[in-house]
Amino acid sequence: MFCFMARKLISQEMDGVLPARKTRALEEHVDRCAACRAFRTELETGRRLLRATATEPSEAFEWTLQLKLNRAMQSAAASGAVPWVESQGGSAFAWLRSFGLSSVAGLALAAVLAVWVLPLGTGPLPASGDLHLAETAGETAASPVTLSAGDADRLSLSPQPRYRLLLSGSSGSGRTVSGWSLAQPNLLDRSGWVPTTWRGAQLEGNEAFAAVREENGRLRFMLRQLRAENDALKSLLEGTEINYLETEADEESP
Amino acid sequence: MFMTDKHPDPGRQGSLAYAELRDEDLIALVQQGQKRAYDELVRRFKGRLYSFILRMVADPVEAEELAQDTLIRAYIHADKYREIARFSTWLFTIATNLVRNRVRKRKRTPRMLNLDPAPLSDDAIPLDPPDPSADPTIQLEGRELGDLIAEATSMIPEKYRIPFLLREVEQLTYEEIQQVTGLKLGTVRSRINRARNRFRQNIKPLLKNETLLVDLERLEAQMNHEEN
Repeated sequence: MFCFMARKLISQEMDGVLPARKTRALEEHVDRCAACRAFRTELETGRRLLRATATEPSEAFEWTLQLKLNRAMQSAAASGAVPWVESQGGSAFAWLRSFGLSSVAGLALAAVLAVWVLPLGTGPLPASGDLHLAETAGETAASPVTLSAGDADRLSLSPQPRYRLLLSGSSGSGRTVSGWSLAQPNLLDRSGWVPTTWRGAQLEGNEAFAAVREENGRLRFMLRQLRAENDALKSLLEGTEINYLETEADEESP
Repeated sequence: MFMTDKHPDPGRQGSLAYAELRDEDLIALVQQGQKRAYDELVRRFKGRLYSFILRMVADPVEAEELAQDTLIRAYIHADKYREIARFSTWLFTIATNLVRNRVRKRKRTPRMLNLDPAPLSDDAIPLDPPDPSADPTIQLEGRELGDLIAEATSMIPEKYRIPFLLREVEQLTYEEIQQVTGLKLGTVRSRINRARNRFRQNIKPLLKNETLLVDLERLEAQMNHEEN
């Protein structure tokens, strides 16, 4: 074997791709040839030098990578180029975190406004219109009723189903206005479901709304009085050592 | 996408479990959206990528930038990886393409003139030429061994250097280098052979230094210690 041939085979031998037959022939040549032996040693030393002098990136590599990755993901997401979606994993409420607490608070505020403020808001009231009653459970009673300020103090203390009031009509400029509110029927008519006609124009200065608030305050005051009476009765019962709150479970327990 | 037995979820067992997984399992977990699997891949490959790219572009800042670009591309296009090749092959294919683009771009806008270019053809080089710069008294002091090796590597033409480094440092097989570079198997073999000869020529002055082997053994011991 000539040296130039042997040196080509040495490279393949180093990579472990030299067939066994050629390997034997090469070994025989290298044993005899000092130059080829030195050649092989130098190649092997070169390989060792390359592997031993591998350098590491700077310490900032990973966080710089993270910054770049964030930017790349943002731009990829903006262009719709991200072919897969990173799963959130972990908590079932992870979506809420990403959605943002401020967004949730904003939605909640909007819902409150929609329910309580917008239908009977301070904006221009319809110049004329009909007030419809519809039971929340689904039964529709779309009969117009009359509301007068005098009826506001007739709110019953007994539990009453709540009703949705659909306020609809047209404003002075001719635009149609509608909205929903919550109320109790006896606010409108103590005797029940007497259909009467109501005109939105009668709610000048939100009198009905103010009346409801006034009634609410009155009821709260009454409730506080009843609680005080209740507490007084409880303390009286404790004084007589009669336990009226005993239950069967209490009796059976050791 | 659900976890399969083939790619178990190590997240529940702690970060140590990621270190025990194969690269291919980790990229499968990345495809399922597990960021920690990607972190583990970054930990494994950042040094190898950086070192490979640095020897190609010979500029630490540029090398770091390209290594990061490679890892970012691997993350964004993770779904495109199929286990028909090793993950390292796929990753080095991305890196090689980025390096080639950068080198091409650099050639279009040359910044300096090389007054001592490497010969274009290997045939012009004698098999074992006399070495005029061979000075056995050359000292490594003042220059890091790494710098000398980097310089010797940079003198190998780019088309030889890529398969050479993939083989010598990254220890890819000929078939894997073929996949990365798109070259024919015979071309891969001959280019590695030529690059080896070039590199040997380039480090020959260094090889005559008596302390080289001592330094090399010290470096290898240090490297093994860090790995363990």
